[in-house]
Amino acid sequence: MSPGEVRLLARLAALDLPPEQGTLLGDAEVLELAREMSAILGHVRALSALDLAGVEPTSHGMPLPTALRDDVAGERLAREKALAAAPQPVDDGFAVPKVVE
Amino acid sequence: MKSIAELDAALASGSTTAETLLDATLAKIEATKTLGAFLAIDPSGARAAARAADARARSGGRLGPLDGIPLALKDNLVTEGVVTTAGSKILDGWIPPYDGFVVRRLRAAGSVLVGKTNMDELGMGSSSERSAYGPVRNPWDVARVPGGSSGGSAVAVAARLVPGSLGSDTGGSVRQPAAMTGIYGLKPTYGRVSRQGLIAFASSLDQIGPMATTPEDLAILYEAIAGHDPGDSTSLARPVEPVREAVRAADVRGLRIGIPAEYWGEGIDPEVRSATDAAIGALREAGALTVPISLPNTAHALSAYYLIAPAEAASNLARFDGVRYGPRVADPELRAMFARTRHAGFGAEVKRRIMLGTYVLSAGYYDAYYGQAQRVRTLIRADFEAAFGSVDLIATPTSPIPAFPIGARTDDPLAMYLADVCTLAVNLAGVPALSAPAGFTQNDLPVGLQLIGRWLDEGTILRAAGALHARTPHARRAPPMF
Repeated sequence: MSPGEVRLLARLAALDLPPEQGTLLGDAEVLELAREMSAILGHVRALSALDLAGVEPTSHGMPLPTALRDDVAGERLAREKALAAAPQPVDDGFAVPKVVE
Repeated sequence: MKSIAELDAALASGSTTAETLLDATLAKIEATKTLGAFLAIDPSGARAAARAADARARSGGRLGPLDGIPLALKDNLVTEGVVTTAGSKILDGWIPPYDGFVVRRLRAAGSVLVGKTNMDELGMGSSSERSAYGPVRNPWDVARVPGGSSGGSAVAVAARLVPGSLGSDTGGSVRQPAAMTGIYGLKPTYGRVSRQGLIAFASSLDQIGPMATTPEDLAILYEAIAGHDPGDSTSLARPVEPVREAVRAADVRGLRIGIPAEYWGEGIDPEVRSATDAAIGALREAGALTVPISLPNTAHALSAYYLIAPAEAASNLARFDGVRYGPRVADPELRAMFARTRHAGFGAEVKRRIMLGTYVLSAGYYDAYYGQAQRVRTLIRADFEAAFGSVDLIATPTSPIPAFPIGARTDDPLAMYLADVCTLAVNLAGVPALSAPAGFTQNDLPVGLQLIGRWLDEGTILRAAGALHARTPHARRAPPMF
């Protein structure tokens, strides 16, 4: 994995700024991440060599029926409680930087 | 510190009170702060719960075996009004607005929840060194790790601060620290215990489980938290069989124990091997039979796990964005605010796993990595299904190595991941498993035996643990200073 790929991944994962705004990651940190992730991918890559044609994927260890509860109103968190831990509550919502001009 | 069952008897007879137990617990937690076991204590909530338990005891209305018993919770279990961080700066100072399912169950059972235990950040680690609030230390040797990620919950029990605790287990995070600290830890069948109110790491693998000093206590805690919850769509609507009596009877005559060759190969420390061999020998003496078996896809479990778990984590951790809870790092632009908040809030291991998960889920790589890992998961599940055709349970070492020195593996993520090599396949398959104290190394470090059961058959592995407990002294040994 190259330092460029690490920087792209960090942006995709919202761990680094959009490209036009610079970067939060130092070169040394990016090199270290590239080295570590290459080592991990080198290990797990062995799986791609297995011939698993015809094997169905498993998403859960226990086969689970689709769980739909009855369509009735349940208990809800009161608005003040839901907003109590917000870093920037405003009136009856969560404030975020302006996204629409 | 006595066991839950013993304290229950003492509370029922009136020879002690919940407040007396709480006072002793709080004093001991204060005196052992250097272990780093706790992140938050709730003295006022615990006091109120203890007084209510004592009032019930006086009026002859005790609620059951947990009424008045002090317990600790891993800090990824949300508790209304009590700071919950999951060991991460991304939730620094967060006070949840509700109790998770298991927390409500334990409160309803009358237990006294004393505090929240330290852990690897968001459950990602095998040593409890990756907490943003400092490492947890092993009471058997404070220069060593206690295992992880439920290291605080393990140490709270091992150092006899509380008789029981809850942890969570995504790849071994209850069993492996239980092994490294000389206590019992159970990961129930996937879906047995509701994950509502558990801060998610990898949703198809996460399961909450109890930790305690006896198999009977494990059974008491398991019975208290297991069962259907409509609040978790993966919670199983299946009856939970009572297991406590079977644990006490501890009858393993005729039980067939599979010994999978793949778990005893290279990488298993010789002292771990001899202790676990001896524990299996004790089960044989109690009347169980051992059968050599094979779980041929074991070698692929580590790779499959380190593709599936980061992929799910990358999705789950998208919720931490500085909008609804946790600290925010301000920026006039929304995407930059997300990035600054997440960059400042997550530690190195969490970032690494989010990026790894993002990579394996990205277009062009999805099928080669994530898809392939899910197909391997099918093979691993089929291995267990085939094995359980001829045996009732499976025995392996819990951890390939005893507790290692703090700092010894932090520079090499792969070396750290290998500490979970014996426990990961269980989560991928969804089967229940526990770790039982199997003995000690020459340096007095605990070794754990892992007992793996059929889907929904927690009873058989708990029964076997009961037999082991009756025939071996290891679990009764507390660390000398605690």
